[in-house]
Amino acid sequence: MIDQAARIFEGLSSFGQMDVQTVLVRLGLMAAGFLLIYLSAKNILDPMVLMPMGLAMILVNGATLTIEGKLANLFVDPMLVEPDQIVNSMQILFLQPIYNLMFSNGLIACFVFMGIGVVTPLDYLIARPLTSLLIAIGSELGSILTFPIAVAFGFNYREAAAIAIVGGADGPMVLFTSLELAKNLFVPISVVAYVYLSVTYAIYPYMIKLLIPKRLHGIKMDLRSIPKVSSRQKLMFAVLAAAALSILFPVASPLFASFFIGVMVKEADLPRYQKFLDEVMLTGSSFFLGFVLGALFSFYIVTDPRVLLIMVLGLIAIVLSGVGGIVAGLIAYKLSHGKINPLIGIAGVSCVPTTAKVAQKCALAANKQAIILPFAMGPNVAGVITTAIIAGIYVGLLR
Amino acid sequence: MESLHALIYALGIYGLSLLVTLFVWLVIVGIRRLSAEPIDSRPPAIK
Repeated sequence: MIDQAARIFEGLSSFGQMDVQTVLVRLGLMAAGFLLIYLSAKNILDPMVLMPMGLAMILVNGATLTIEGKLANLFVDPMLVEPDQIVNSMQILFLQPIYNLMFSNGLIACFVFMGIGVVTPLDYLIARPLTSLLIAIGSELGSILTFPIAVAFGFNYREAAAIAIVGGADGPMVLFTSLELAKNLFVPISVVAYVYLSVTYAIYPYMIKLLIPKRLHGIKMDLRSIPKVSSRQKLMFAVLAAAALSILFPVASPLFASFFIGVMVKEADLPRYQKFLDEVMLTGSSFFLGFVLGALFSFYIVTDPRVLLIMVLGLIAIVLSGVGGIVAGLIAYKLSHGKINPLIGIAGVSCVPTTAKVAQKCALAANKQAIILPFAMGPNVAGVITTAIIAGIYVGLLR
Repeated sequence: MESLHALIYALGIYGLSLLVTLFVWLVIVGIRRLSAEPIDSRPPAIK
């Protein structure tokens, strides 16, 4: 009777087949899933990615059953490498086809980038390129300094680079770099990255309060000082930058192609493609990104002790990049004799458009008339480019 | 020792990325110079 009940309610009985530590990790992940949903529902974290991720984390760790004598689930198995195994699993695991089609080759990152390209304004970047790019390169501090820290923690160079790029705060870039350099750590690095990208909303305002004197928060910037940039110039920039960067970094060319084709579609004013890339591609990719990443975060992957280390290093990377961006913003404020609001420095951390919105939110909290979002978008977009450059160099050198 | 080597390696990558970033800046400046529609940096007249 008990045997039959155990076979019927496998999710429950599977707890009995695990050691105490694994049970705790499994329950902890389910609790983390509930927490993600709660924080997303409160809009503290980004609900677009993290709400489906939270649900998938609960379900994948709850719905554990035995397949061929091993504990597994019917969602996805990212550890399969043999073609036969993959084909067989596609007939059983319902997210496996999406994982193999879109995740194991980085296609999902490209789809997200196409969508980001089509909603990204380039005006301030082209009007004030040096300011935007230098703030952005300052905001890459985490992508650089986390590398030796990760090596000190025992990761090899390839793994350290994949972890360090979390500091670029650019989801697609993190996916791409970890797929190219540390496929074995793809799942934990990607999940940690996406959680932290959302956490920037929560962490960065406190860092701004801590590091930038309050009297500077509300500095007004003159919108009329942004020179007019024509669509033709932006289109030319998209085409030339994509060509030049792809020649320099062929390994990162899928990402450059994806981002700049989005920009091109926007600036060439092709409304049907714009709608497709924004409403269909970006929305659909964000949904599957959250859901599949959550499903990848099952207890038998997370019991790898290095996951905790990756979480610590990811946080270090995000914080260091924030510090770098703020310092670059303060330097820009000084050099412009007070005309540039230093808050735009945080937007150099290229989580488009989250960090630019954080800068705007903090400015408005200090001064209701301080509109800095159009200015913050310059370093924000430049940050995408600098992160792609650093990812391209890491991948090119270490692949 | 390995961390120190990694730090120097990372700083080298930072330097290289700075150079490439300056190249991107040159591309933008080039576009602005070559463009038939130069950027009008003057603020619009207030009517």
